[in-house]
Amino acid sequence: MKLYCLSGHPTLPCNVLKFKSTTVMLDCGLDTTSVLNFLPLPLVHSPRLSKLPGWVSKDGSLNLEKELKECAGRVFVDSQPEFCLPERELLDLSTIDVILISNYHCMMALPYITEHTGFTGTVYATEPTLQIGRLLMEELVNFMERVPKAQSATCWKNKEIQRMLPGPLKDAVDVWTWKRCYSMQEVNSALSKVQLVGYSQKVELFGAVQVSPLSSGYSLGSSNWIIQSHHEKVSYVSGSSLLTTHPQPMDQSSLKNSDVLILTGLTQMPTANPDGMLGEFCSNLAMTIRAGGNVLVPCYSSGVIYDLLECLYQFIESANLGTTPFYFISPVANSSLEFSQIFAEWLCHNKQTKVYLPEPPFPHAELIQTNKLKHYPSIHGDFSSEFRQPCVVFTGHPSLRFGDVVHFMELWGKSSLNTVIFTGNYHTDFSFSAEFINQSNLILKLILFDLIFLSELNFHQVSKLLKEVQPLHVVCPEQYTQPPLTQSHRSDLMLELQPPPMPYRRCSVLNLPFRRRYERVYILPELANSLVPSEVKPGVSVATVSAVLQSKDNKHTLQSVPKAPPVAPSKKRKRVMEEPPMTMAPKPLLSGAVPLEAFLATLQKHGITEVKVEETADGHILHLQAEDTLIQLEEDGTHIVCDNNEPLRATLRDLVLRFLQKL
Amino acid sequence: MDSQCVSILPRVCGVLLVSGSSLPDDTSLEKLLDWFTTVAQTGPSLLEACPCLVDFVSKVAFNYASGSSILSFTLKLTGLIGASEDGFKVLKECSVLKLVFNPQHWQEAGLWEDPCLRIGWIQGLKMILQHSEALSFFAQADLIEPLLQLQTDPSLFVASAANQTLAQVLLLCQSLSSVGHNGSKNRDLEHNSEISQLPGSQQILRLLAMLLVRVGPPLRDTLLLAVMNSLEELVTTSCSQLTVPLLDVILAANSGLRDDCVPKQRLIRLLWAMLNMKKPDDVMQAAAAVLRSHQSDPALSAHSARVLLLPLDIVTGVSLLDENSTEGELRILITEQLKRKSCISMICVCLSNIPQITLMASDRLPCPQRLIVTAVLLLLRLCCVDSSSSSPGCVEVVRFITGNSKVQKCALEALLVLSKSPGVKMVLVEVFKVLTEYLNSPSSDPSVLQKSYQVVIKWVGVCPDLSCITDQLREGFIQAVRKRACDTRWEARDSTVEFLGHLVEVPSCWTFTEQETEPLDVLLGGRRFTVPLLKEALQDPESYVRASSISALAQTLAPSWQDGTALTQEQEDIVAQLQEVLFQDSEGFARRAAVKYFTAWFSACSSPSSCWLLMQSMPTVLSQGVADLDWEVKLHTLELAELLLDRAFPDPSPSHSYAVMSDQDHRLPIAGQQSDLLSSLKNLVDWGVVSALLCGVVDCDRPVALKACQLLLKLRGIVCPVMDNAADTRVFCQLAGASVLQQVRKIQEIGKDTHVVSEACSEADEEGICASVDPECVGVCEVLRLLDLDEKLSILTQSSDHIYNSPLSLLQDILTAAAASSPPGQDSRQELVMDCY
Repeated sequence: MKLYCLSGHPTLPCNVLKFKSTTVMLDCGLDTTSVLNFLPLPLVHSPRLSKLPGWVSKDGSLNLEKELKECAGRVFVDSQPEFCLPERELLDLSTIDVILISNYHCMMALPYITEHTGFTGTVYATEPTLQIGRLLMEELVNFMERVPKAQSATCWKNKEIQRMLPGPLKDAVDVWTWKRCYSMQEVNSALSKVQLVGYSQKVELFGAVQVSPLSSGYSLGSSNWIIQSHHEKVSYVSGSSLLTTHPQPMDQSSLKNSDVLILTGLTQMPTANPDGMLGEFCSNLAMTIRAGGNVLVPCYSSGVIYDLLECLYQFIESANLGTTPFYFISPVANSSLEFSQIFAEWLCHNKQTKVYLPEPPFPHAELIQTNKLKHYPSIHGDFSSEFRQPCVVFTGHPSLRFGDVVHFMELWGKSSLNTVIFTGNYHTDFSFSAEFINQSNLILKLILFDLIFLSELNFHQVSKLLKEVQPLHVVCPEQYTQPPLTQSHRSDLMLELQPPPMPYRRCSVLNLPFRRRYERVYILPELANSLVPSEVKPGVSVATVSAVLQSKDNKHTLQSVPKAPPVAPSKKRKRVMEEPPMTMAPKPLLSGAVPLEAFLATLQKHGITEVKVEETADGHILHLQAEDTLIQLEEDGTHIVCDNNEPLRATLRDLVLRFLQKL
Repeated sequence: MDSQCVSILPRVCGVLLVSGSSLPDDTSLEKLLDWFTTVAQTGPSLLEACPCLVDFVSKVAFNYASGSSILSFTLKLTGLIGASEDGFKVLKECSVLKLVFNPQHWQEAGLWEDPCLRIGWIQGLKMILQHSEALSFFAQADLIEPLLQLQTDPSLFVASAANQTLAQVLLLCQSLSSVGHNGSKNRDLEHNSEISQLPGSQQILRLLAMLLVRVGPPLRDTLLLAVMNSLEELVTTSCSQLTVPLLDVILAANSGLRDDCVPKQRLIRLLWAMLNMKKPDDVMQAAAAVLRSHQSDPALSAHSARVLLLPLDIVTGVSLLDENSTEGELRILITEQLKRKSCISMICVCLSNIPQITLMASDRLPCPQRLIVTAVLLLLRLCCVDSSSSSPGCVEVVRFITGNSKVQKCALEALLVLSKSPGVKMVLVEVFKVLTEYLNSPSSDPSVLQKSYQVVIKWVGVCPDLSCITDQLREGFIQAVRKRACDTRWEARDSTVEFLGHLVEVPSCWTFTEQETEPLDVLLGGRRFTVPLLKEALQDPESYVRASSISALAQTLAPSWQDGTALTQEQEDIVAQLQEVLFQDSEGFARRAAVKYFTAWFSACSSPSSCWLLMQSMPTVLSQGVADLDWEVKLHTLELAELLLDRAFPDPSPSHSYAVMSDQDHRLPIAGQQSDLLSSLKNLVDWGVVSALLCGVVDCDRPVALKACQLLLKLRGIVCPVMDNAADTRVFCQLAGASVLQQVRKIQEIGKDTHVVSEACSEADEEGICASVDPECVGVCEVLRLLDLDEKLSILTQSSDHIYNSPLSLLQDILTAAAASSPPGQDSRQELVMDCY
């Protein structure tokens, strides 16, 4: 059993598990941190960005003015943003049988895997995952396609040149494999391969393994997966949450008794106090608005935004923000807000009950009704006529490189009254964004909140979970086996297990540390009928089976040996190939032990008197001195060594056999 | 004593005697006993006042069928009677005493099992033990034995009472240095010396501690000698549960002894032994106790301080103690303990004793106080969730203390005290940084935030020079405060608003360049920052925050009121908002604060009359405040009225108050005085003071009515003597409240002065002042005369329940209840019998 790790990003995993005869891809997250090396894509002409100087190396020998721009001491690529894809060289992607998706954030690389690689398998996902995933992909494509860039920068990727570049660009890995965003057509084609599954539904893969999704509490329709055969069980835990805000709660008990547990999607944020963080979000927001500033919340158009809106719903009145407009701008804003209300069966119990009342499960419906929350597909059109400041804007993309957020960064970046509040996973996703703001001569206030903890397990919860689930082995990204860089003294922010977890990084291939010992084999009824069991010890009966083993679709069946066909009339046509298997009566199996004293007595009866007994580690050696013969009596074998005296050997053998049971 | 009570007391005793007769409630016996106690203390003698009691006692003593509560009551009553020597004699004569206090008697009756009876017995005994007669009775009757047994009674109350009674016995022995009682005393001591063998050693240790504090030298020395061996034995066995009581005993014994006496040396050795025990928790407790007791032994207290600082040293890695010290073994033990969850309590013990450590003389301190501050600061950093600092100390402890608000609060408390220590001003910047970190952290508990604010105030208050607060630090602090003012938790908003108010009151400091600066300016950039924040907080959904913001605004604006600076538009807005609060706020807290704001303004204002806005708002505030539903708002309004009253009629000069004012002075005032008074009174009426007082005096809330009544009396005292003779100077006042008007009308009808209202109005009409006849107008002086204020005052000064709590009412209640439950065979109150002692 092997695990191929195609992504090193702990929360955007992409792993391939080879288990029995199947090849299963677990998630295909798209690492978007690569876009942080690119200049933002403004929706309208930005004088600031267009005036940035091109980059020329200090000695003037390298001139990449057209491709690279300098901004506040850092160099950015002036081109359509590109993504760092999951590793494609580690194994042949066309051999993948199925892809299991755990949530909509972890499927953004799907078109890169299913298209143009020869992939012919099936993708399994729940319905909300598919629908919201489609929205997010649509949004991504839309963000890219509405501001096409004529040129595509490639020179800087030249190894020789890249070596001479400054800063993070120099250290970027595999830049040649970076790809531009996929097209809508590719999205549609990729998503057409998705087959929908429901929680706890069991899907057979070639009869070899069974996969089934479990609720993970992370987002609408999010799941963890169990991949099991009759005797082995692998659990895959992706983004999960015990602190359920709106999705169905996490199913923990089904993860019990796993041989291997693959653990991804944890948060390394130390705080475990969600109320404090949400409260902090609200107070920062109120503080900015009261001071006359605007608040920008770069976010994905589904997921945590529902929680933020719900939290604000309760807070708006008490903080006197009743008159402040809240805008949600995304090409899929409308669908996202509406979709969330119709996936009733995927919601937590609390929200489900609301479905039966004349009120929608999420309070953002009321915010929309009362005109406090307004949503627009983009900053163009209706929005421009309705726009009032100070206001709060939720919009994407959180990388700040494309989407409507770029416009607001340009618009509000010049005043320190305004605030941008990140709700993403700062340590892994957006540290560059923060740096970017600091380095782009933008003076708006930056606040970073790891609200990801709302939907991700923290270390405290994980250790509790693992204590309860008790897996034999744990596999996790290497980041989880050491404290976060910024808080090296926090030994509680890492996984400490016995046996220690197996860390992986991008391009690791792990041999999972357990051997398959058993395989289930079926016996046909007529064959079973013909068996004659004999009891070897109380409760244990043994029978010898002579049968034909048939293996088909990874199912193994023992069938009766077919009777020898009537002898062919013509000997001429006899062919070896058609000969039925030889039916030979099997030799009887022996069991039991030879008691030394009794055996010596029997030997004496048969005239063998001169016996020297020697004790060995495993039993005894009897030296029949007169016959010059040795009898080795050991736990798992008896040997009679006698030279050229077959009758004696036979006699001795029969004497030994007297003490043993035959089957 | 009320003769009526005396007359019905025999009947009450009769009722109590009847077994099972019901009482109005289960506290009546207690109340009865209280009354008897008062009688005994105030009157000549209880028996003289109520001779029937002896009869009652002796009857009950023979009547086993009385309920246990009656028996217990009787025992206590016997004690009360016997407390006086006369009473004791009477009781002895009728041989009740022996019977009542004979445990055998109750045991035979099978009543001793009841803890209620046992406690009665003990308390009765304790009460009686006031004089030598009683003591000899105690010794002769051999009561010491049962009393000692009761020390280990299963009932905690009984055991504790027995303890106290034993102490009483010993103390009495001591005060009457009569011999003859040595028997009992010595037995007691012998008994005490066996403490180590008894399971109830805790009780005995408590008794010992109690005794050692109170007994005088000769007895104390005997006692100490008797118990010293046992104490030593207990210390060596070192049982954790006994550490605290044991320490109490040793410290109590130690406190009164001279340094050179032998037991003292042994006690000090004992303390050293306790400080060298193997259990870190016990050692810490011992060290804390030693420090708290202000030991005179310098080595001992220095060592205790070192022990207490050890955890801090280990956790933070700041070397507070030199390594080559003797506590190496303890260091290892504590380090182990710190790796477990129980480290929290240990660290808290350490932190909460820092105040004691700072009180020590600097030459006895194991390290300079500055180092302790550094260590506490580092600890605070480690506790802060968002902090990324690490320590060279114990790493394992971090996971337990990070985000633990208990440790955070203890550390902040320690930091608060450490602000006083010398030479620590240098770390102000560090302190400020840490506090800002706490204020900024989303995971800080509101109580931690509040503490942090307190520490800021304290440190800023003691630091003479705030120039070290850089712009960057200030900016960070301002952001944190601004954010907390918008916090989702009201407690956090409340503390922030309160902080803004308190900061104004921190005295000014001097910068390096000898410029006077206000801490508010240095930390937050002055009033232009705080006032808008506070104005926002006036709209807060939580009433506590609104109230705090009003008080904080008053604190913030007080300096400008004192200076008499011109009013700003902002202040006018605030006044408008406050009036709104008075009219509309649904919660009393905010309205109370609003009235207090005006009180503060008026008292701070150097010349209120020249402040048009203040005087203009007075009628509104007073009329609205006195009509409020909340009695505290009304009372505060009357306090404001009192200020106005005092301002209108300032106290006569000091010489006047001692001078005897002849009647002449009152009757024939000089014309100028009259006209001054007249104009002042008119002012009072204009401000609405008089109508507020008249409204208040008929208020249904007693404190309000009382206050108003007192103020009206004051007004009457000033005005009426002067104005009575001046016929042409009537001052009229409009009455808003209907009730006072009704009352005045009622008086009018009864009395003869029917002209008060009508004449006032007709006259006003004639003069053309009042266009229409206003039935709500009254003449001030007439009203003051008409209302029987003196009678009112005497009624109001009595507490509202004075009728219901009188002894007569109690006795009557008992009789009535007995009459109500007279049908025989019905005992409906059975279930109410409780173990109430």
